[in-house]
Amino acid sequence: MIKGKCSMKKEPDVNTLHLEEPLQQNTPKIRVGLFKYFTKPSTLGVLVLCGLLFVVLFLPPVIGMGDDGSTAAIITGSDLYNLGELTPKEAIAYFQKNWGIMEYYNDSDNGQITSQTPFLNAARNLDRAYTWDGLFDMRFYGAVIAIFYLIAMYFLFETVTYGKRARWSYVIVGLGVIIFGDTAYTAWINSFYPQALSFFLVMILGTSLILMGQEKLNDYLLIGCFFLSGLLLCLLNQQYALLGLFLGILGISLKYVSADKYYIRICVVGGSFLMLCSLTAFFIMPNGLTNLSAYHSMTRGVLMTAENPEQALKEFSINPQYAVLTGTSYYQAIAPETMDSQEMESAFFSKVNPTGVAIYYLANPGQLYEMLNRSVDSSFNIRPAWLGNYEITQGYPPGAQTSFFTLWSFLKANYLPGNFGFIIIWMGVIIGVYVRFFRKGIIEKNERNTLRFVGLMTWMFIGLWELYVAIITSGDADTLGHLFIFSLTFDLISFIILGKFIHWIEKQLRKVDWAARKQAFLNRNTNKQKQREQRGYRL
Amino acid sequence: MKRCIMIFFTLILVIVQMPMITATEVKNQEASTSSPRDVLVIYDQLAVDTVYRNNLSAVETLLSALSQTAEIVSMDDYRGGRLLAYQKVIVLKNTQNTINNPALIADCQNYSGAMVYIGFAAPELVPGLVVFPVNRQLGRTVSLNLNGLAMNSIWVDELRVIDAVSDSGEVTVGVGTASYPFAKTSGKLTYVPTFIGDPEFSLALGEVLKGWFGRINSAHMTLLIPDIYPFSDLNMVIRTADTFYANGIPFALGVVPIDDNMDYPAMARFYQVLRYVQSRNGTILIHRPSPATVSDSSSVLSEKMYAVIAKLVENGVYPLGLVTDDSLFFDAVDAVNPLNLFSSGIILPDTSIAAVGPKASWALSSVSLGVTLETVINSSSQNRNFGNYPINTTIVMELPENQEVLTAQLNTLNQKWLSLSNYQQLDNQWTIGQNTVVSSPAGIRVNGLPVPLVYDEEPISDAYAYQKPPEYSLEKIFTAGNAFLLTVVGIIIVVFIIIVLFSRRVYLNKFRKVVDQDNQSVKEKDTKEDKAP
Repeated sequence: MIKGKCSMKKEPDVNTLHLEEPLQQNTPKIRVGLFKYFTKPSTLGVLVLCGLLFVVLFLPPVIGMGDDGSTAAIITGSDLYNLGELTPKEAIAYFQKNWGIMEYYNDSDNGQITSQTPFLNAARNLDRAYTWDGLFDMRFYGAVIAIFYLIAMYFLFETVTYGKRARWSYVIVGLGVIIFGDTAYTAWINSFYPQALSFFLVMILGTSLILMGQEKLNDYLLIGCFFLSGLLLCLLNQQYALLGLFLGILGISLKYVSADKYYIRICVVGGSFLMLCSLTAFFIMPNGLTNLSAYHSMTRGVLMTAENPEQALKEFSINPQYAVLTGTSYYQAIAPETMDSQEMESAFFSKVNPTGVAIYYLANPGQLYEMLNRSVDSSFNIRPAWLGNYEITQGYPPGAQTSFFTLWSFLKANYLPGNFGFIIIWMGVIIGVYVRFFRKGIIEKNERNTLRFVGLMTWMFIGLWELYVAIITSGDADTLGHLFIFSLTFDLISFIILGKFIHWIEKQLRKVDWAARKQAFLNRNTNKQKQREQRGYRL
Repeated sequence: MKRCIMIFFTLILVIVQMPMITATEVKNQEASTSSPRDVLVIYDQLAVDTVYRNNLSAVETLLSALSQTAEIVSMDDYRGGRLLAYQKVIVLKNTQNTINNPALIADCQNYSGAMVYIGFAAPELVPGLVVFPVNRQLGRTVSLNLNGLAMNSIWVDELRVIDAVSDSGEVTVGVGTASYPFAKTSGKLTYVPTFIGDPEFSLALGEVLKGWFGRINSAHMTLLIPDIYPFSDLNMVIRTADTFYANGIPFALGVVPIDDNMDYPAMARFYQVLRYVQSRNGTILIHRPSPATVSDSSSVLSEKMYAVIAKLVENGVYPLGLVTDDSLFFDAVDAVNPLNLFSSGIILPDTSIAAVGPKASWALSSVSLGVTLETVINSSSQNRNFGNYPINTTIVMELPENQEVLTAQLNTLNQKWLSLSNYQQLDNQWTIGQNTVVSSPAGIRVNGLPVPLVYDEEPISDAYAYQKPPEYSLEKIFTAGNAFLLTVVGIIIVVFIIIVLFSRRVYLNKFRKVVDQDNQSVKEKDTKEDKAP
């Protein structure tokens, strides 16, 4: 589309000059337009990412994420099944590329339909179109997700470069490739986890708002992207469902942005529909909380940070002797048979629920703060340490994670201060920098100008909400992928701010008259005597 | 410009690449085929979809329960010549499929040692089988009679029995009023035509194998309550201990090792309960750490067990044996694995299907086979007294949920007139780390010294610092530095105050001098005036 625009803009000049042979001139012009389009920073960044994804995800050694079994219900809903070639322990430690496609009628009643299902179905049909071997190659799903991921990255690069082609915008896009093309992020694309989807949905959600503020793309396209990604995000999992309420309210208030009649209708209808869907999903969808997460929400959360774990257990009316499990993980403390036993169910698991844990934390803010510290720290790892990246046939030790193109995640995990105090300062800086846009927009009654701030705040809200949900549902172990979203929103906001900062520096540098400075530097000795006199005079 | 950009991105890609983790070959854990074990087990197939699916696992468990080490190999994996290294061989044929391994058939012809043949007869493999006249019957309810005990109502789909008169004292299969021998020996070949891997058949085969291995020592029966965790219902444990003590029933508790938070008050309470159980004639046994919870390295397992056992002994709890399932005996045991340092243990009944592939087992010197309470209930004795099973057995009974269940279980045990042995009074010993624990009818000795098992209640303080203050490196230097700085600053402050005071004087003196001069001049004047006449 844009390619067409480029050539269209140039054509009048061509026609006025050479009216007799426009067709022969057209092809090289298009070629030039194509070249210009592909060397535009955002397009170039997406192309580099595309090559990177191809190498990492599709060529052997194929990189992906180990499967901890939590997605079984979702893939059953799409007529896929685990071939069972690996033991559960191996399945966590190694990536599994091949899955089975059910050949006959899927009569299992534990299948689950989420917003992942259409993507999975598309990938399955794609696989069937190429091979008919009853095997599902994860890479087809990876390909489907990768397409949307690249679109999201295009949006993101557009927001930071403002569509301009300048040297600094190539630098920003390069940084974006390093941050979001990091294998710690892209490895999720080759997995059935909801992270794969939330990865690009969260990105599109914020960037569509910011782009709308920048008036870079069509408003209807962007509002459509916003509502669609919001809808998919809140239908991803029961724990994401409540986000739909927030996004719905935000969507309705977007109607002030444009005076267009249809636009306002879309906002109101879309926002109400989103809220309705999120409420319905919250009550209809199974909560997907397993004993695993309930266990961790206590042992790696409430008990670990409590001054007296026995007292905390008494508040949940659980036998205080369970204090011995403080700090243990689900897989290493107790034999699986005992974990699944009726006794454990009635004495422990039936008494733990997210609401209870949430209330407990509100009553003990000190513990909540401690947990926030720990969760922020563990979220900065992006990849949980126990999930392996390689296939078992590659011969790596169990749980081995790739270090290819992981500069950003390495820096983030090792050098960023992983505590909530840092996040508070970071939030203060961001709000401080961006709130003036919001204030200006409100004062000028130009709601469109507030959207940049609103976009960032949407990300921040989603990130903080997921951080809290992660703590109350699974302690600092985060077996449900909430911390991933926090980590992602942190990177997104930081990246936008960084882009703005580079942009600002570039602007400051442009103001400087370098020739004059140089001359002044060269003349520094000749004027020395004078300066000395001046100095002496001043003194 | 464009080239610059391209070079920039390629550079980024090149720089960011970090060295990939080098691959390490996973060691192929094949059973060591170097040294022969006590017995070689050759099976044809697992027959997973048939009633014979548990057969291999049952035979393996039985061999472990008889303290025999074994090498297990399937007929397809069998390599020529292996058979001839053995004097005792068990052939398990779960299907009627033909044998395709010529090396095995050739070795069988040349084999001269003792052999137990279980399952479908294959005369092409063992020609001696033709002498046994087999009677095949479909869909029978049979009873197994062994050692004066009858185990009734066992459904067998396809029953094959040897048409012969059983000798007295032999295990028999009763079909209606007829009675057939469970196994028949001719020369060095013993044939067991029907075997199903359930507890009753296992016990019957146990009697046959016990005689075959020449173990004539009398068997004992013990009682085990497994899976006791620190967070189990400890009140119920105490109540059960009291009830059994009052009824003169010796029992054992299987404690699951937990190496986390061993210094918590909750753990101290747990040890206290275990000490109480010991004083009530209870024996403490320790479970094998679940393989699912231990990472693959045996050093982790070793550290875990050392820590747990040292802590138990320190708290006056003396575990005397190991509670495990059969798969442990097929795990590689080396110097760092402390589990083989126990002399005795209990094998829990395990319904999982045996793992495939050639493998070899090790054994504890004294083991008993776990049987459920249902098996005991199904066994009826001809006498008032229950008597005993042919091999060492342990009744595995879950911890009762409440008083009613406890009473019901107690009644069952009492009505059976079981003769239960006290596990403490059997010969057990182990040396792990600093500790050597030996038990015998004379009592328990730790490092050579007898220990009293009387219970003395120690108060457990709830005031425990759960949140440890973080440890800082170079803390001493910094404290010393702090103290030094404080002193210096203190001295400086004192000096400063002194200077301030002093300088105040100096400052005031400045004026005083003037005043003094004035005064002096005044005085001088005065004196002058005075002097002036």
